[in-house]
Amino acid sequence: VAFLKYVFPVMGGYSELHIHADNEQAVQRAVQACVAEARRIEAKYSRYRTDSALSKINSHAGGASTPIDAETAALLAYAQACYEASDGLFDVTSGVLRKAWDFNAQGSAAKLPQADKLESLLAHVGWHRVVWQQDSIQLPIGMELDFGGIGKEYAADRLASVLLGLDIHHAMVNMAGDIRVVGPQAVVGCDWYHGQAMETEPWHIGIVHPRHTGQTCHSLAIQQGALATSGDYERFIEIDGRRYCHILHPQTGLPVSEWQAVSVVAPLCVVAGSACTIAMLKGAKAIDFLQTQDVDYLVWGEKICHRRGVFD
Amino acid sequence: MVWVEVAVAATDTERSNKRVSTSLMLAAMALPGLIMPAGVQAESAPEKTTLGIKYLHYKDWQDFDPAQPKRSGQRIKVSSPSAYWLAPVGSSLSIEGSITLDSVSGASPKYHSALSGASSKGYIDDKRKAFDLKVTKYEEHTSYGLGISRSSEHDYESSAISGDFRLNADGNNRTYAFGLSYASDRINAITADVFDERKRTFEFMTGLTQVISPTELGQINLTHSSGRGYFSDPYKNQYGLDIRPDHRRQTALLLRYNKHFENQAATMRTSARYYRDSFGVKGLTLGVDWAQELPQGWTVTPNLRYTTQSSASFYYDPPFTGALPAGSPYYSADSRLSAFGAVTAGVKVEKEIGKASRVDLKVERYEQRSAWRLGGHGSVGILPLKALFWQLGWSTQY
Repeated sequence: VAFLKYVFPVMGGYSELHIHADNEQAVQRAVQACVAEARRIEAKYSRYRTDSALSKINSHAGGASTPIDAETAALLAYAQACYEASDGLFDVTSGVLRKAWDFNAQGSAAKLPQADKLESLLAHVGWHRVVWQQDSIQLPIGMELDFGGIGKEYAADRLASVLLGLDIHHAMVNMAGDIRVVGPQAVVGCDWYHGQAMETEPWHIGIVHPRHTGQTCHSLAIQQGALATSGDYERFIEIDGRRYCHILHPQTGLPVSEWQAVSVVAPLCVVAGSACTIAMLKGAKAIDFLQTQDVDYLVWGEKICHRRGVFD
Repeated sequence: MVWVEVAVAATDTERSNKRVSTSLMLAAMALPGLIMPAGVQAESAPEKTTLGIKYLHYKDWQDFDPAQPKRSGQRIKVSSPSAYWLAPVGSSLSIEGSITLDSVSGASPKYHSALSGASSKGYIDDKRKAFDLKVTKYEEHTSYGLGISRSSEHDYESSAISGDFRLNADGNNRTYAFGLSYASDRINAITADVFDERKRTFEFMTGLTQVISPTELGQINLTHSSGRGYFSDPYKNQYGLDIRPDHRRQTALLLRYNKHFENQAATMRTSARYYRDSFGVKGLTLGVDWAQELPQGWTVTPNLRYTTQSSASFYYDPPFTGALPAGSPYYSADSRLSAFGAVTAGVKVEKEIGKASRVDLKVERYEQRSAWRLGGHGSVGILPLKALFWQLGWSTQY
């Protein structure tokens, strides 16, 4: 049996593949197929690449409609579902708001955006104004699409399908913290005295503590399904002792502040990823939303922590 | 894990009533090329501390034989509650310990079907206390363990110290294990005129466990022990019937092969153990378990074991003639040193209670007969020995 942990940069972060297979060749084949699929999705949906399908759509904003393929249409349909499920809070056109914020600013250089700039950008946010069909999309002028909260997670699920297609049933895909698990890991039990050797074991996944760097606030054992976490600690600036994180409310352009982090366990990573982002945006209504979606969650606030299902 | 499916089923009604807004899950299923997991099989982390209690009951007997009325019937009964505890200390250390209280009653194990009347003096009613404690230190690819144990009953005290070392290699697919232990025993059988006899035993163990494939596991263990001191049975020796060498070397080779069948949700565990010692006993045990997972957190594991052994070189078939055989300084009529075959058949039923607790009941029936010895006749003059063992256990993690 062969085991491999493979790390590669993709979609602006590092991805980790943990693969257990019958032999070395099978592992290598799986790694190549996974990397190829991840790069394909990156090339198609990156906003940083001018030649990506997404950049083409964005560059045609205010102009003629852009033809799209079935995969893109399916992602737009999912974005639509997220928009409806979140009462308009999860909006794939809200990425333009980041132009008002500089989350890379250090120390005293960090500042709040000017009100008029934010105001003008908010005018370019609104999924309901996007006109799209199965084969084409037309963005109003000044608007942009951004698949943050969906893209990386969709890639994790697609990689899981690639692995299952290669008959691999013991693997984990970690797309910069958004995780899809494909069966338990194969391990050696080592209790020689009692002889209770084990065949498989769940993957043990720690959830980063939103305030204590380098520590975990919870640990999970997962054999199937996905885990995603969204938090205010990944990218933020501090002004006058107040934290402003990169998750922006599409109607105000201001960072959310109710929760420090939300983790969700769901069958698919794309569901877990969008659900935890929506929960961050929902503020006080996050718990109701997560209950309705019937997912397991860990919602971490400053003074209170809500848990359900596997997080209990 | 089966319990997850149950939990999902239980919330189905609730879900359909509550889902008024868009379901992300339904929407995601329309995305191209995504394969749904067979069920959301996630469970809470193995909680840090494990606590378990068990109650074991054992009794053995020989069927009533009208020709030998004194030599048949109920013999030993053992009741044995025990508690086990394991807790991590920090992230790389664990401490585990257990306490067992045995109470043994009945005719002593010296019973031999041709020793008329011996049972009358051999009635025992004893309590045994035992505890052990072990500390294990885990590092990236290795672990070290150090343990002590102690047990005492009114005529026998035993203390032992042990150490083990494990090394994981080949991406955790192979584990090498080495263990050493030393036991010091003290025997004080006042009624049998045995005072402060000692026995010291060293044991060495080495083993290799290998993941053969994601569903197959192989293991090979070799154990060798060497003991010096008092090996006789004090109560049998009272009649000049039990004189054994003052040293014993034992070697055992254990092979295991486990295979998990994903489609059947079952695991087969097979084992073969070859044993020989300097008393002249050679034995072979073959065993197979089938652990079948069932819906709603149940697991049923039937098991079957067969043992065959030759007798010790100084074992003599009854009847006892009253004199030691010429030329041999040693003599024993202990039926455990006789030649026999034995079959154990049992079943274990386990049920998960919630996510962190489980209850199990194990029942085993044992039968030992001279005639069941493999490839040769067994010792003569011994009635078949039968035993029934059951154990109720509960464990939880928190």
